[in-house]
Amino acid sequence: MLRTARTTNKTARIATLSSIAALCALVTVGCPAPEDDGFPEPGGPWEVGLEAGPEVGAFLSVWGSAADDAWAVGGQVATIGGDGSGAIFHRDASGWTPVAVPDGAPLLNWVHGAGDEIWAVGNAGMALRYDGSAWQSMDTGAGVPLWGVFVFGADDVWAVGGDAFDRDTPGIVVHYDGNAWLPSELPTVDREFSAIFKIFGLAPDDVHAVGAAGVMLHYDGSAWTQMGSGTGNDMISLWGAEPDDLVAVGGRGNSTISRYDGSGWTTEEGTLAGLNGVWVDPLGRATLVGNMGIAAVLREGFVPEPEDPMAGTFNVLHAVYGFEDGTRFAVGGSLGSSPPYSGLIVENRP
Amino acid sequence: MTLISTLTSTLTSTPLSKQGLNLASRLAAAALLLPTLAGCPNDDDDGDPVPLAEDVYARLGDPIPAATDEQLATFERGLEVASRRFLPSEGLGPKANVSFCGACHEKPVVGGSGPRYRDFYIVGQGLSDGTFIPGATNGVLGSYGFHGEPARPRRDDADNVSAHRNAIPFFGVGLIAELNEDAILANEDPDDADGDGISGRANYDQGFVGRFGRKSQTVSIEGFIRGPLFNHLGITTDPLPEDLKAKLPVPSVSEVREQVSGDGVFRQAAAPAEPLSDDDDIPDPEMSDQELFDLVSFSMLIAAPMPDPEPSEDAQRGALVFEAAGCQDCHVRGLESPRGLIPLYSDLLLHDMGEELADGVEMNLASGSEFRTQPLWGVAATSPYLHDGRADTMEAAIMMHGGEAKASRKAFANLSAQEQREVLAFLESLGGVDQRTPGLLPPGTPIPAAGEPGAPRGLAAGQEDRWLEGRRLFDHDTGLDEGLGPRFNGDSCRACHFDPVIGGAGPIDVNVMRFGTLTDDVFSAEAGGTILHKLTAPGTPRPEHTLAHNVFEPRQTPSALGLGLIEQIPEDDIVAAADPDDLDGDGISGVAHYPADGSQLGRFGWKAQVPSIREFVRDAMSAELGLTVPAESGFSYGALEDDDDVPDPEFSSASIDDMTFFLARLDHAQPKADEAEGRAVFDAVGCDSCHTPSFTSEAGEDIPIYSDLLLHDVSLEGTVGITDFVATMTEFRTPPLWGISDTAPYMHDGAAETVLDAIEAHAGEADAVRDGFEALPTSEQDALIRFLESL
Repeated sequence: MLRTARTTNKTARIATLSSIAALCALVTVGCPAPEDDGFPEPGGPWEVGLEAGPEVGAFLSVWGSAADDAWAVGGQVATIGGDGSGAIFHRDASGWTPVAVPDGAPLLNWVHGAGDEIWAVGNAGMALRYDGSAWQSMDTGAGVPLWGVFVFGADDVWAVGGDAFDRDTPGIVVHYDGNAWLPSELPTVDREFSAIFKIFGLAPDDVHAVGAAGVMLHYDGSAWTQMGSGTGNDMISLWGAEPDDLVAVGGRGNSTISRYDGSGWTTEEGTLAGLNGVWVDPLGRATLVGNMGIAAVLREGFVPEPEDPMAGTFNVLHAVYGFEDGTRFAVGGSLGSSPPYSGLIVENRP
Repeated sequence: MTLISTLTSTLTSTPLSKQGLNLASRLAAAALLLPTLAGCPNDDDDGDPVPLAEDVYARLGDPIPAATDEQLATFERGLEVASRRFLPSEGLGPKANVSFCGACHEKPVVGGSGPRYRDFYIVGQGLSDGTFIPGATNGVLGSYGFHGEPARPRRDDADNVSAHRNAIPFFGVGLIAELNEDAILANEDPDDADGDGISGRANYDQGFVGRFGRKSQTVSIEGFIRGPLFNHLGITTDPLPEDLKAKLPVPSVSEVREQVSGDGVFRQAAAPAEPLSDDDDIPDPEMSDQELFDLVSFSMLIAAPMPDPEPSEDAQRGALVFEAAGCQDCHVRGLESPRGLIPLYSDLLLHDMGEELADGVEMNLASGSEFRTQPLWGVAATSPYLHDGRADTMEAAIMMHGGEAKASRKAFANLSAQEQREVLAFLESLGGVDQRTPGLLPPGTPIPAAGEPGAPRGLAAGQEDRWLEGRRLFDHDTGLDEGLGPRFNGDSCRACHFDPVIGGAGPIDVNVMRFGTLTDDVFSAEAGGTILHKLTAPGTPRPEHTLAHNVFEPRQTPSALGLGLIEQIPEDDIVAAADPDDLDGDGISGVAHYPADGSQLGRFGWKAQVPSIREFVRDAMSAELGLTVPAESGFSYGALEDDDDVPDPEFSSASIDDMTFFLARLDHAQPKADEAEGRAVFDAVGCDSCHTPSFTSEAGEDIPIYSDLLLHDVSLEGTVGITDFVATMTEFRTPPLWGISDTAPYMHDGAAETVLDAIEAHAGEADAVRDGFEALPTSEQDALIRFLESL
């Protein structure tokens, strides 16, 4: 198990600030030039793409095949005063528009797709599948909130979840094989954990999942095994461009970043606020978003460069996703306050 | 020497301990420097002295003198919020340690630290790679469960780390909140680049430099309040909205996230890691934004302790010794704030305190052996000391320093006795010493006049000092070196008996937990008895029950006011009302309880299980404080020995004498009004069947107790509980009703929040009376409740 020393000294912080200044300077003189392979350098201002009121709720996830064909999901959590509800918005070239959700759909936590196979998952074990014209609900039988979904194809969909407030009941992984959702057997792990929060893979036999209490799992095509994480902090999300270069983020009060090099994870706790979402571009540059509206770019190592102004909001940013043209969308809302939530989508174009 | 010159005279840009001098040389150098340094505090960027902050010092618990009238009004409102007792119906729980903020922050005044009876545990799972995963409620182990949770939440079996915590004082925290990050980071030396053996690094929270908490794990006062509200009370809050943030006494709204330029203004991050909801049925947030605002404002406005304006010569020399011994390497005298230099004697950085103090708890960047340098202003009045309260005295605290502070500890140990006294005198000069108290009663608290709560009764001339000594013992916070523990519920008698005055009842958060096992309707207790203690001496995990234990019974603290009168009731008069077999057929029995060897009538306790005040004292000192008592002819209660290292007996016969004397002469609560209409209802409904209005003492004195002191079964069918001598699981002594309005909650388990709830909770033998009450017109019910609350 790898575990590095935590870099929290002033030198690292000064380096971060210097990077901010450098980034600001770049922003001031205009958009950076595309790199040699044509994939743009992250940068440029973040602008509000959509603000939603309590009738919609917060946005928890965003994904799409292109910047003009993207989905954002979220909604309101169930409270004593209400049952909660799911919300789905679609973006085309003209902007974000609401899409009908099936009756009774709860708060939706994540969305992902592969080609035409698009899924969203949410509270109460609910899964939604887009049939090309409308969203159809499907009960996975999980009975607990599903926090993440990852789609390889019509017969290979993974979802993860758990009751994050119930430490006595471990998180779950369920799999859809084209016919039914079935629970996936998990290994005995070295800690109590309440939930698996996100799942990601670059191949059906190379799937990673992260969750509460720093638990990290790997699926090799036949079985799940636990991997050392070097942290007990909740790890909220992960993404990657290469099998030997994944990035996971989390922490609640403080940012926590983990990197996977193909053999194991190395984790460092940083000095930013807690992180919730990560997307990695084809060149391995990660965009991170988190509490207090933080957005930052992690190029290498563990010290991200905060983008300034950071998405123009102090709302919680919960997820981020990017596209081939360098456009990035981040979503969130008033998740730092009691419900009912309001929602926010911010957009960045190079 | 003036206050200012004393405070500034020990300031140098390079501490003496870092100049390669031995202690004697440092002392000599310090003495030489003294006259030249007076009036030369830290320099600012231009080389000009940084003046001390002004108008920020006051007596402990007072607001800063610079507060505006509007802020003073907010301070008073916040003080009320800090003192508000939350009830389960208002959101307390589902797991909790205390019911109000002032519970832990009361020494020597609200806003201070806490005696040991308010200690708590941080638990979690320590993994083989050193990772710590907080358990329970964000790491905080709850003592009480409500809303369907187990009455005593059990520590998870996977939690192999248990760290003891003593509450932290809030004095001057608003000034700490105002510090810009550069002021804290200026003292960082994470890699010990200067080779002095002292490192020091910042912790971070929400992207900002942390400054509050034992591990500097929290950046904002709002976060430092919202977190404990959730973790210790189960009270949910929302982050303060922007409009209220903008009104806080400490500037808390900024459009800039990073606070590095030293402008002293940054967003008061709101601990978004705290859940905004909990698992009870009370709508969230359970504390309003306005209440939270008042509470945060109150905390921000609590003044820094006023240093001694005329420090003694010992204190002045002690300041030099303090620095020469290297204490000031971490307990730096002051940090530069927007108001000037604030003399908190802390760098607010993390230091590795070694295995001596390590607790295994990671918090943000802090490792299991790192702790924030604790500010020393007001230190004299906030014992016990260190993160887990293991040190009874300041001297003991110094001698328990380890890790980076080991050299300073050794330096202190090598000082002469006079030099050590000088260091302690210096620490006492940092404020609060005139408010220091061995318990919670302020120094010099007079004997209440007759008729006032807590007043003596029947005190003869010349007996005042003995009564005061008994009261002092009752209030005294017992130290570990006096024998406290190894397991205990309180560290003083007052710890549980303080509502509305010393000697009174206790709120729901000092309930004593009793437990046992019920097998085939037969109750059995552990060999150690039925008390499941809440606390242990630092270094020992909390006692936990096993899954086999299936009976838990919280016990509310009954008032001790008027015990002496109860003891004077003739035994025959009590026994005369007993009707154990209900021979008169009125549905009400009444059992005279003869506990222990059956030779004496039980009069005290929820099961009438204690026959006399002296036995009550012996029993409580042992069972609740863990103090051993001496063998005394004719008395059998109390433990004669325990397994700590303090010689037995730990509480002497003389002390038992004095405390018994105090309690025997502690007057009962006085009636507040004459509610004749309600009294008539009381009699008509039949409450007086058990709640006998009065007895007459041997001396002919009227004793308006409203109890027959007999056991009755007033429990719901199927209730399980604790047996005690002859008393069955469902039998309880009729509790006296005098002073009932000041002794909520009610019933033996404190489950009834109001007098009305208590009436409604009656069952069994009281079914008919309760039914009669419920059949009354509302006006008569109200009259009855007014009567009860007038007693």
